[in-house]
Amino acid sequence: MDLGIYISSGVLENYVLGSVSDQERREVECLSSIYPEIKEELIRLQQTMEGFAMANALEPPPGLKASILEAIDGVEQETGREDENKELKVIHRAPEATGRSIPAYWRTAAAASIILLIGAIFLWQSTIGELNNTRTQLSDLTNSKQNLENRIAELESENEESEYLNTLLADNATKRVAMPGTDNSPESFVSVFWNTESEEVFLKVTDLPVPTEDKQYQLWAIVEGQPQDMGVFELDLASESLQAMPYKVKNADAFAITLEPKGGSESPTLSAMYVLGNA
Amino acid sequence: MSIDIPDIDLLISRIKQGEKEAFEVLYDKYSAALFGVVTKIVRSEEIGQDVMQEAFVKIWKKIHSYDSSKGSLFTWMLNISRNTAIDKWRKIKREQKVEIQTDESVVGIQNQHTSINIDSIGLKELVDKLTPEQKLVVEYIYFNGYTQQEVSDELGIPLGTVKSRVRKAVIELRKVFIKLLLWI
Repeated sequence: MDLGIYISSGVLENYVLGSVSDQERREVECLSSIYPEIKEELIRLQQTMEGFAMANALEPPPGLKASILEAIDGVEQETGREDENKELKVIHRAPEATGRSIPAYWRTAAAASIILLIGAIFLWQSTIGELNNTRTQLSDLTNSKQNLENRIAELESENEESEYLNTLLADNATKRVAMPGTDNSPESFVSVFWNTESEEVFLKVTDLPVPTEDKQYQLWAIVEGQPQDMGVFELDLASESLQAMPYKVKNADAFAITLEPKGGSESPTLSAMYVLGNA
Repeated sequence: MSIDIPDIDLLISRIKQGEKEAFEVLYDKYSAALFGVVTKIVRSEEIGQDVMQEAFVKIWKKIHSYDSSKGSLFTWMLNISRNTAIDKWRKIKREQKVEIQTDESVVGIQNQHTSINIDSIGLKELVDKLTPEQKLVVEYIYFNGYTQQEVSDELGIPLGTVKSRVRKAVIELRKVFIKLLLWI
């Protein structure tokens, strides 16, 4: 609690002047037993009123002392135990009478504790929730970062590839061999890019019939009248880029593509030739 | 005179054991201060003596319930005396109201009521720092036992004003009487 506000509220002044309610009186007594600052202030105020009373002093008539001493003669002092019983009685009676036996500060303290507890639980739960959210977000971010990195790596390699292809295509040693469709498939068209110095071969399929599951296209180079295996390839009409072929060739006279059983054949099936072009 | 009693704890424990001589020490020390407050409240030295007797009997009987953690013995005695006096004064006023209202004594009491003020007991210099308004609220509350609400109703001033006047008055009193305590 803010002691400054409590001290300056005026309740302590009222307490020493005796114009507080029973509830306020209990509150002041309780708080001053808890907070030394309030206790100190209260003692100073009490001393003020003591000084005030001393300054108002009026000597009583001399006979008063004797009559008072006479009056207390034989009067029993109320011992602590009797007081306790009395207080207990009061405490028992109070709830029936007013239903307010629990002092305000305890009720306030209890209410404050509950509110604090609820607040703490709420805070704890929301913190846990937030922590979980943060964890999820972090893992999402980590995943998307990984995806981006993968994509970047992909693009970089594609870029390297296309740069390489650009270099290759621009190279004077690279020949483009156009392979129109044969009678089997007149609409088909495939280009071969062949670098005669590096001997690398790339394909660009413009059109080929989609093969059945058990078949694969195979590229052949014709070298000195003999077909030379250049490898099988997957038909990917959607791809804009060139397909690199696994084998190199030197001194090719022509290129052809046949449809072979999956995995390719040792020698081309001439009846299943789809495109053919002279180098 | 000092308001502190050396070995006050010893004195209290002697009173608790029923030692009248110890009780006499209390009387000698504080009766003048208590009598001053009491007579101001009941506006009569004669009734003040009755109140003193009643208050000292209470002090004697209840000495076991005195709790030093709540304040000094003097403050405790002061509160008992003041409350006894205020109760007495209220009772007197009630009885007087029951009497025929045209009775001149009612008028007399009321006049007396307003005439009593702090200045009249030789505290002029000491309370000069209080404004008349501050003096009035202190008088109503401390000497008449009014609640702040009653002061507000009686004087027709807002409760908040009463509260701030009380606080300022006590602060002023404090400046004076804390100093006073050092030499009395």
